[in-house]
Amino acid sequence: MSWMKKRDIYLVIGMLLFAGALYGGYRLYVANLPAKAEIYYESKLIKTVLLDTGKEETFKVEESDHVTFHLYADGSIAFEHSDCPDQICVKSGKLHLVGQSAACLPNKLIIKIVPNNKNSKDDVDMIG
Amino acid sequence: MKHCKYTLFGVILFCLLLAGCKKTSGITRYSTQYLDLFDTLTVIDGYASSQEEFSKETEKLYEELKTYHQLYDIYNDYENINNIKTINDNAGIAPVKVDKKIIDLLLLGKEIYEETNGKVNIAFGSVLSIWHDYRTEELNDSENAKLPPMEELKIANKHVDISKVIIDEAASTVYLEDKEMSLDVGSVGKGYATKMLTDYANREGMNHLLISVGGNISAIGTKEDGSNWVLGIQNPDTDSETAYVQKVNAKDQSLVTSGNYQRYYMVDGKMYHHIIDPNTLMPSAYFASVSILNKDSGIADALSTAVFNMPFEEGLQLIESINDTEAMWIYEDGTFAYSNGFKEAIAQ
Amino acid sequence: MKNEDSKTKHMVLTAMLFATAIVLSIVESMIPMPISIPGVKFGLSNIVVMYAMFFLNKRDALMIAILKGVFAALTRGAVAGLLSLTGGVFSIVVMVVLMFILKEKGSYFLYSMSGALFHNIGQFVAISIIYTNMVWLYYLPILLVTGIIAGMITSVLLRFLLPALQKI
Repeated sequence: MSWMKKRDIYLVIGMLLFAGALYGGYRLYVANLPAKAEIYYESKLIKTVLLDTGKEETFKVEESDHVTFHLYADGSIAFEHSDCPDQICVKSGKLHLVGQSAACLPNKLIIKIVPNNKNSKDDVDMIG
Repeated sequence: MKHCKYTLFGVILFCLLLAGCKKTSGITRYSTQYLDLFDTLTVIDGYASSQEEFSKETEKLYEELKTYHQLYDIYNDYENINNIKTINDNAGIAPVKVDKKIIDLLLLGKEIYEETNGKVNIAFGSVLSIWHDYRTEELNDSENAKLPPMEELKIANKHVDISKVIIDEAASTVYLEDKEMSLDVGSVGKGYATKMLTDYANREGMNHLLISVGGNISAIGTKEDGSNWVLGIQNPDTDSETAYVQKVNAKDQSLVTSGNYQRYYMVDGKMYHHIIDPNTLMPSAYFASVSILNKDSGIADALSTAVFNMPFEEGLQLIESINDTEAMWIYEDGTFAYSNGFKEAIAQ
Repeated sequence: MKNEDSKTKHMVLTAMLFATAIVLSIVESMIPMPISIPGVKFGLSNIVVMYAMFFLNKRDALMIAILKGVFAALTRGAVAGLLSLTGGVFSIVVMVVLMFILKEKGSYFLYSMSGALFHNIGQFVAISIIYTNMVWLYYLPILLVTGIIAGMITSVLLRFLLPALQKI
């Protein structure tokens, strides 16, 4: 069996093109939708943060004392501090594009950026 | 010519198909709106096999709600009816014989006053009417909108003692001992009426209804197919594209929101809303809105006003002390807080 | 007698490979990643699984992957265990299927890359299940690119390591 074939190179190029096309589609149609951040603890939504308020603040959630979040005035959000060993969540940096997410698995927390324009009146039976 | 025939045949077939689709479900969802009750928009959603049948049901509900609307009115007189305005007009003069529906509401009001440490006071009319007058003046002359002078408010605030509301259950009379005082049931009236309407609907066997009296929502039973009603919590930022900020499941449940966006007027570009803090005599400034979930719409209505008038910790403590009651606070900056059990009600 | 001997040798070898996989995953956790996205890793420990795949048998490879998952679950919690397990199993299943179809027509690079790619995809599927509604359009391109890079790294490493490992 050979190490690498010419065919593999074509395959890689094809995949890269495909990835590029997908990413283009994402940037064009998804990334810049109005966004909000959802914070989940143990897979349950515990907090929703509107990102376009222009406020800068640091906050915690009552479910976990181990993690500090930071909402930036530019509309992004990040894990600012966590006591977990791997620090993957903090290294994920600032999130602001729809679809981005960061997780702190040891503390069972995840931030997800989701579109915020879906809350139209048609989704609910009544608003009050 | 032949083509025409085929086209016609096609069109007819298409129409039959459409008609067939409509027929198969049998029961359809309808919605009716009324604008003349409680100075707000009333919406009733329900299921029926036809519009006429739905109207028959909503007509009954409307008539029922209308009696409460007239009894709890503080601005208008109605022929042959002693309502809350009659009580106010007879303050310091004589006890007024009133319907049991008023007695029950006022008793609830007294109870709520105790439970909320006076944050909800049905005898707060003297202060509220001043704010009401300044608000309505702004409608006529928005250029010269003014704030009520604090002196005037403070003088009025001397006449808000709820213990001077004398209720004689046996004689079915109400008497205000202080002639300067007046009742304003805005904080509980709509909610209590919605609750009574809910009970009425249940008695009448209407099992799948959604009633909103000015955003005071009562979900009766479930949807026709047994699934939960899904209610949205109004986004306090009414200019936003987002109509609501959270979805909750509701089955035999009431959702009431008190918000600074509901009734307000502008003075020098600043917004002054209608929920007045009894301590400061000014519009309460803790939150943009507070929403309460409770089976009893009357309780939910009163609590939403009370909690709106309290700092978060105090409100949370109050909510947690009452069974099967949850709350969601929305701050001016759009951030939220929930009571401990609220998340269970959130719909995905 | 000879059979017994090779059985023991086999077992020891599997155990050693497993230990190596653990060490490699620890080493990997110390390498800083430019971006950290749930499910995206270079998958150094995959090299061991690949080695087992090519030169022992597929069942041993699967065994090592499952053990890795159990180890992750014990040391880093159930979620990490589940992620490791789905990643490992996904990549092995895909490699086995590819090998079955292509046989000698495949290449080490191709198998490495598919293994790495589906390791990532497997983990991402697990994450999607746990945290519903992940946006695939955003992650798929990243998963593809990192899968390709990871595949290159593993196949290059294998290329240099295999001659040495084959002597065992």
